[in-house]
Amino acid sequence: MSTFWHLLIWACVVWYSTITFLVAVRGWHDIVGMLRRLRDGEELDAEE
Amino acid sequence: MSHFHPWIDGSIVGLYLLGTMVAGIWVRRYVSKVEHFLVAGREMNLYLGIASLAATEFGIITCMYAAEAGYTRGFAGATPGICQAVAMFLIGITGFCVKPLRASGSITLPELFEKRFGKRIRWLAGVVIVLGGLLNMGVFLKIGGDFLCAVCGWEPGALIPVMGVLLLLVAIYTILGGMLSVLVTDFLQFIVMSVGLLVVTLLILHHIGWDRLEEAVRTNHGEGGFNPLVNPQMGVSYLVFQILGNAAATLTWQTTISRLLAAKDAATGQRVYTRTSFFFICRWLIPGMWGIAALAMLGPVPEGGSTLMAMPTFLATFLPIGLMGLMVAAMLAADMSTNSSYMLGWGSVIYNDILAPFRKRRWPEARAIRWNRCIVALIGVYLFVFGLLYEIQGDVWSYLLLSGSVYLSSMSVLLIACCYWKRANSWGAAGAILGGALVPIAFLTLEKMNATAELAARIGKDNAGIAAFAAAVAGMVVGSLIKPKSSSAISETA
Repeated sequence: MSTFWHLLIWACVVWYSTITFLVAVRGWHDIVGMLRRLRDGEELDAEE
Repeated sequence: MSHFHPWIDGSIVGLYLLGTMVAGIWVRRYVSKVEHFLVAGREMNLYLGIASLAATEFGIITCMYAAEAGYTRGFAGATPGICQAVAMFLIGITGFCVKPLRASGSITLPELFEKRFGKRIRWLAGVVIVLGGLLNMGVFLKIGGDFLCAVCGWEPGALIPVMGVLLLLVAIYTILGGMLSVLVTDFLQFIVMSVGLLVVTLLILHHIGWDRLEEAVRTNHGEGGFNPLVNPQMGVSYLVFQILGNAAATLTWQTTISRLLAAKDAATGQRVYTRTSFFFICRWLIPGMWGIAALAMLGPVPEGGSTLMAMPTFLATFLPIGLMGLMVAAMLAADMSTNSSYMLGWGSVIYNDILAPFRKRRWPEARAIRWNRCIVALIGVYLFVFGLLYEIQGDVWSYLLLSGSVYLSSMSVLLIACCYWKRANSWGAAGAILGGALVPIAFLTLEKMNATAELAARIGKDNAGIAAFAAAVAGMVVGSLIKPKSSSAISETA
């Protein structure tokens, strides 16, 4: 069982580092896109 | 003596706080509708969803109870994380319940229940969700304050001001920007939190080493420190309750499903679940290892000592100046994202479901947003008062899962029945809610009364939790079957 936990800890470190990098890069694009869509929706509502 | 340096570490923490507050307050300009405030206009995409879900579900409270589990149960203490990761992956892959939930367009679970079980069940479900959620969340602020005082080396008298400042900062941006501010700050907080968690973990593995960690667990816990089934504090009933509780939390926990409901479509929501699932192992195993490191370096706590405070006591002297600031910023990030999402999550149920009968007509957007802001502020006041008054008996995680099962048991049964059982009806729903809520409330009451505390200890939190699920299922089945068919048909048509 000890080997299982040892491997799992390193799996956590590797997976967590990878996902942090991915989220840092692509999450920012998601925020920009989300705010743009909300602003466009506001403008459409104002025009109507 | 803590290594926290007021100027060097304080500056790192100050910089983080400034960035978060500016971002959180800046996005309030995009909030013009109540849907923006509660579910960010349903515009959340995959990576922002992952950041937000992970940041929300990891607070100082998580770090503290997972580290306590590592300290008192060894690696086996991370078992709940594995249960939740498996549950979240399977639910994300299959879309079990979450697909019809997202497709319904509801903002909260009770709103979905109204479509199947009627208005009264919606209201009752809202009350139970808020009751369970607030009981659960009530201890977050106090434990967060305890952690910060311990790692920074502040006197116990600093607890109340620390709690107050922490709450005030979170409340400001949550009240102003709602879910939009929560999502944007969650993104920043996820990055700061993750960097801090990874650096501290690598430092522990480098300086203390795997062999010493393993030896500490073997010496203090034996084989039970690696295998939950042979651990005297865990065993089969513990494992069963963890599987039930974590699967139910994945399906119905308001702050978890609010990410699903804020996603731009059901497929994105499901992908957020599958890709975040492994994080639930990290959120138990990483702090759990910090707790084991505390055990290796400090040894077992003396009789009457606090196992909860072992990890922060260890970190206060283990981390060097500079890294202390990063770790405190990471923990503040974790705590602020959790508190803001929880305040908004329970607030959305109060507004959307409990106050629904008082809104005869649709409220103007400005009025609706104003009410939501007031509700979030009142939850903040409650957090402060409850945190100061309530003392937890036993380990923190068991309290959280048991108080959460006030609603986890009944709501998960209602959701499954609502989506997949044709005979489910309002009587069954009422039976499930009552059965699922009464068992944990009765147990928590027994535990608090001197005359019955011993009986409660003999029953155990795990068995009480399992009983809550059994009572909810029994209530749903019996109630649904005994309701006359004609009245079922009428209520379903209505």
